[in-house]
Amino acid sequence: MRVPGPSIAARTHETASRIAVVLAVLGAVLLLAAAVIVAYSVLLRIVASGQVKGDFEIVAVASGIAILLFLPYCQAMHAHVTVDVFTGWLPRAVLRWIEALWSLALAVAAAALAWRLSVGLEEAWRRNDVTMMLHLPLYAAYAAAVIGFAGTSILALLDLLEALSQSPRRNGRAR
Amino acid sequence: MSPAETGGVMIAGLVVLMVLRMPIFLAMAAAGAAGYLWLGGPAPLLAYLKSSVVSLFVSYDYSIVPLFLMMGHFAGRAGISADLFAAANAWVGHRRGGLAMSTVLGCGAFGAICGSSIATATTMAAVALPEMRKHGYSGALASGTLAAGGTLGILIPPSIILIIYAILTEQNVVKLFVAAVVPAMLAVAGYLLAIAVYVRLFPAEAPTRGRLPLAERLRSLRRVVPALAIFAVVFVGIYGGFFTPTEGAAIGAVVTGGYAVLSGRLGLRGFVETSLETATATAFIFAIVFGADLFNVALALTRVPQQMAEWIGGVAITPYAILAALVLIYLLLGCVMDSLSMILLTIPIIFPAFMALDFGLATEAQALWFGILTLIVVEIGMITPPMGLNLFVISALARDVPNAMIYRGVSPFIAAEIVRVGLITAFPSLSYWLVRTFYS
Repeated sequence: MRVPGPSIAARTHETASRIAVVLAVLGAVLLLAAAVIVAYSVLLRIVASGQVKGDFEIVAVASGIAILLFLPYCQAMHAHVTVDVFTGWLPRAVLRWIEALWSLALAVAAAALAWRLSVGLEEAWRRNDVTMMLHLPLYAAYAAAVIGFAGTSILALLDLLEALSQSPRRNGRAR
Repeated sequence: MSPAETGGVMIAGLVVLMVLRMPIFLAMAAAGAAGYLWLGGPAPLLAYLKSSVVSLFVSYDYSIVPLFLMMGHFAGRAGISADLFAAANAWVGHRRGGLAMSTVLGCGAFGAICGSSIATATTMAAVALPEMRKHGYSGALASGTLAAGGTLGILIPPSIILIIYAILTEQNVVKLFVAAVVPAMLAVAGYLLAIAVYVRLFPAEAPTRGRLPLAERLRSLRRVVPALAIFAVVFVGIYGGFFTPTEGAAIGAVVTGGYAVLSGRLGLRGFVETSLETATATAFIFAIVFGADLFNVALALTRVPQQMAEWIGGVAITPYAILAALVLIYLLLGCVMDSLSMILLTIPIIFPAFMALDFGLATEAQALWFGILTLIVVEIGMITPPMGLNLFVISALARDVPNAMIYRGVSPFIAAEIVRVGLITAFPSLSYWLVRTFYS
């Protein structure tokens, strides 16, 4: 018997997408903050021949973390690029099975990556890996990487469950 | 199985997975991981996966990409595209095809502060498409112009593709940007010419309107000032050596964002939306960067790239024939693949082979020339049916225009681009001449 209204998978997907939005905005704020620091540093260098020490480390670490925090949102929007030419003629039902298969593959791959990165996180934490000048902790970037790929994995898994429960899919891609 | 055969199987596997619609980054990562596993066993792969993503993404070289993307999305939000289009329209809008020409000029000017094709096409379509349709332009001309104009976002520096090329081939980004300037002007000229020819053949598709009074035209110029100021700050700084390209991108993001806030067009809600646009554009690029890295690391173990370089270096045909073949391959690939994946997958294999060819050029000049040529041919892929990302973007925005019409409208621009590829192939100095003048 079919349950009316959005399935549990669809509702969970909604919630997970909202979390992905928060992560993405957080990443953008971090990126912008790093940009402000760099701009200030350049200004200092030009007018007062000083500069913010190690600003290049700040922008590298902040942008790296931002990129990693952007990943779940990209998956929530189904914005990863695919080659659509050769499968466009297939019936809708077949396409849905293909998409479900790749959701499964992505869920597994991203989970495996998150697992390996969590090992990397633990090592970075134990060794206390830091950047050269400012001693910014690199485990922060590893933590963002675990969040980014675990988030991607969860969203892909929810896509799969949604496809299996046959609920109508909303597609976030601009087409 | 010999390493070279493993390499062949990896490439074949990648193609099969992509054709079956697996997300491109995942297909590259999967084929790469399988090859890595086959050649080296589990230990090196597990070690690679433990830290490579972080060491790849936490990089000063790559941080320029999200910063330029953020700057471009701020610029779109601030209405800079609308201002540039309005100003161009005030001056050339009365000519036949003038609105289409204004679109190209607006895209070109916007491209000088935005590094992405899709962002340029999207933001310019929002203002130019309704305007062209209102004045009775055909769907074919309007959508074709926008799809082609969008490529100026990436053909005109700053350009995400050139940045990636610079990182992959260890070239100087600033010199690549300078090398792209003359070819970019040729692109704008070619597009304008394409429109002029098209509207002479089909005058009914582009009705004319009256000329604006001079006072109004002059007033329109004031709207160009913010874009000009942002461009001046960022690029005088970068080209003049006052700061690095990454610093320029950071300053650009801050200044453009600041202008968007001051112009009253960027509130909290707008910031969230801009963040999400930046997030999507950044994340899909870096997913591909990661997938391609894993694939290329594994492929390097098979020595296929080196063998390819040795083989191409040893064949007894003229280098120009090989170059022509490469251009052709890129044009064909571009019909089915996106430009970034093409660059990331092919440059590590093809660049060493290309550099082994003797065109009688200095090494750096040859690398710059090839960068510009590659940029142009992969960008043509953005507007060639059936798999042109810009065509999809425009088709999603111009829902009433059937795809066949969009294809028709974009064909004169593709022709103009192919002429340009011919020109730059025949005259390499079009690319490196300005660099030499600038740095000697």
